[in-house]
Amino acid sequence: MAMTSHRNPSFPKSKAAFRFIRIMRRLRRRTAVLPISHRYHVIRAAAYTSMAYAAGPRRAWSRALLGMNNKRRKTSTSHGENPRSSLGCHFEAEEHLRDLVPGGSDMDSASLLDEAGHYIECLKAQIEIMKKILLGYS
Amino acid sequence: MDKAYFIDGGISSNPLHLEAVPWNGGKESYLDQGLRVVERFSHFDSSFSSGISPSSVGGDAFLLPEIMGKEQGFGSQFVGASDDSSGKMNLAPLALPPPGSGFGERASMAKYSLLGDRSFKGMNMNNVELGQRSPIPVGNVKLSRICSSPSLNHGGSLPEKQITTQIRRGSRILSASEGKSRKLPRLSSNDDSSVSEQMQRAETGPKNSNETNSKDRKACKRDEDGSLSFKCQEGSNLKLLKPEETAKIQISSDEKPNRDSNEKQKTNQKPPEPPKDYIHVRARRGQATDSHSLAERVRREKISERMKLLQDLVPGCNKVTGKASMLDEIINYVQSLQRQVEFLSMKLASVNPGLDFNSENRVAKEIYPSNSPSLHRPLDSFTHSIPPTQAPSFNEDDLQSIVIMGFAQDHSPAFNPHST
Repeated sequence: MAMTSHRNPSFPKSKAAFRFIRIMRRLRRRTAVLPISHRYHVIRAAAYTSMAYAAGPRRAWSRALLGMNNKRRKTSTSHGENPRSSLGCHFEAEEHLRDLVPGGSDMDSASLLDEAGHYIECLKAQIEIMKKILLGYS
Repeated sequence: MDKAYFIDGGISSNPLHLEAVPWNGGKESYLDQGLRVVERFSHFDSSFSSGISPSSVGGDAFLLPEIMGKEQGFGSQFVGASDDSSGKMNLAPLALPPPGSGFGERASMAKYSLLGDRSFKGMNMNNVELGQRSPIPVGNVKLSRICSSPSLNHGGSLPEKQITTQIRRGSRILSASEGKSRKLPRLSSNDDSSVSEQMQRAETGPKNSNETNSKDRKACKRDEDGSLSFKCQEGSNLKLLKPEETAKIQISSDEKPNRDSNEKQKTNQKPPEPPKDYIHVRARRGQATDSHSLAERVRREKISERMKLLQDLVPGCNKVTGKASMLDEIINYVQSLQRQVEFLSMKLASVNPGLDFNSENRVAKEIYPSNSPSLHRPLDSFTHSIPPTQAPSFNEDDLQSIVIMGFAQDHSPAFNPHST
C-alpha cells in the first residue's frame, strides 16, 4: 500500500489537527454538560470539518462538506456532464459510493473515483490525527 | 454546526496563517461564514500549486499560464529543430522558424480539454520529461502538434468549426520516410500533415529507444484526454502504419487565433486555454471510428485509469480483479474509515469532560495572565510537533495548556448540533 508522506500538500495534517483542536477547545465548556451522544455528534462534525478545511476548496468533497455548494468556477467537468452516467453496469456499487463520498451525487463517474481516492487519503490522515489526540489525552 | 468553528479565538498572529473571521453576532449564516473562511483558502492555493503532486492537483486555469511559459521555451526549441534536415531530432540551438518551413506555422491548434484534476499532472509530467530528454521528444512533440490541427498556411484552409476525419495512407508513409527532410516543407494539406506526422513517427521510430516509447505511453496514460490514445500508439503504430486506417477526430473551433501560441505547446498535454473543449482521439486498429464510440472509449479509459490509482490506495485491492469487486472493496474501505472516525470521535467525546475545569481555569489565569500572546508558544510547539514526526510527539502539557487557554477565551457561542 502506498504510504503517503505526512507532508502531503493536498492535506496538511498540521492544519487539520490545529483546526480540530481549536474547535474542540471551544466546544469543551459548551458540551460538557451535554449527553455523550450530543458531544459525539459535535466532535464528529468537528472532525469532518477540520478535515475538509485542511483539504482545501479544490476538492468537490471538501466543498460539499463545508457547504460551499455554489461553484464559482466555470470550468466544470466538461466531459461526462451526465452526473448519473454509470461506470458501466455497476449501478449499485456506484450509487453506494456516491452516498459515501460527500458531494458524490453531483459528480460524474470519473471524478467520483477521483474524489473518492482523495477522500480516502484524507480520511486516513484524519484518523491518525485523532488517534494522536486521544493518545495525548489518555 | 457550530459557528464557533470558524471564529478565531482571538489569536493575533497566527502561526498557521489562519485569519480571524469576525463574529457577526449570529446574523450571518453558517454557510456564509464557512464561505468566508474557505475563501481564505486562496492563501493556501499557492502552497497547493507549489506542492503539486500527481494525485493532488485540481485543475485550475490560473496556473496554466505559468506552465505554458515553460512550454513555450521548449516549443521554440522544437520549432528550430524542425528545420534540421539531417533527420536527427537534435535540439538545434534556439532558432526561429524560417519562413519556408510550414511546420511551426502549420501546427496550430493544440486541442485539449481541461478535465478534472489531472490537468496539471499531465502537464507537469510532460514538462519534466521535456526537460530531461530534450532532443528525443522533439519529434513526438511535433507529431502531436501537427496532427492536432490541419494546416493553415498551405493547402487546405479548413473551416473553423469542423469535425475532420483524416485517413492516412500507408504507402505515403514509406515514401515519405525516405525523403523526409525534403518532404517536410511540402506537406501542407490535411492529408499531408497526417502523413508528415506518420513520417515523423517513422523517423523517430528507429530512433526511439524503448524508454522513449515507454515514456510516451506513460505520458499518455497520465493524460486524461482522448489524446491519451493518440500518444499511446506512437510506438505501436509504427509497425501497423501501412495497412492501418486510423481515424482522427477533431472537434475544433477557432484555430487561427491560437495558432502561434499553440505552436509551442505539446499537444498531448492539456492546453492553457480553458475554454477550448476538445477530444483528441485516435481509433485503434480494428475498432469503430464512430465519434460516439470513441468518446465512450475515452471515458472508459479514464475510469479504468482512476480505478488503478484507487487500487493503490485501498489495501487488498490487488488480489481483486474487475471493476465491480474493486468498487465493492473501495466502498467497504471508505465505510470502515468512516466508522473509525466515528469511533474515535466517540472516544474523544467520552474523554473530554474528564478534565477538571474550574481548578484548571484558575491555574491557567495565574500562569497565562495575558491570553493572546501566550497562546502562541504552546500552539507553536504543538503545530511543529505534529508534522515532522509520525510518532506521537504530543506534549501533553501543551495540549492541556491549549485546552485551558480555550476556556479563558471562550466566546460562548450558541451551540448547534451538527446535522450531516
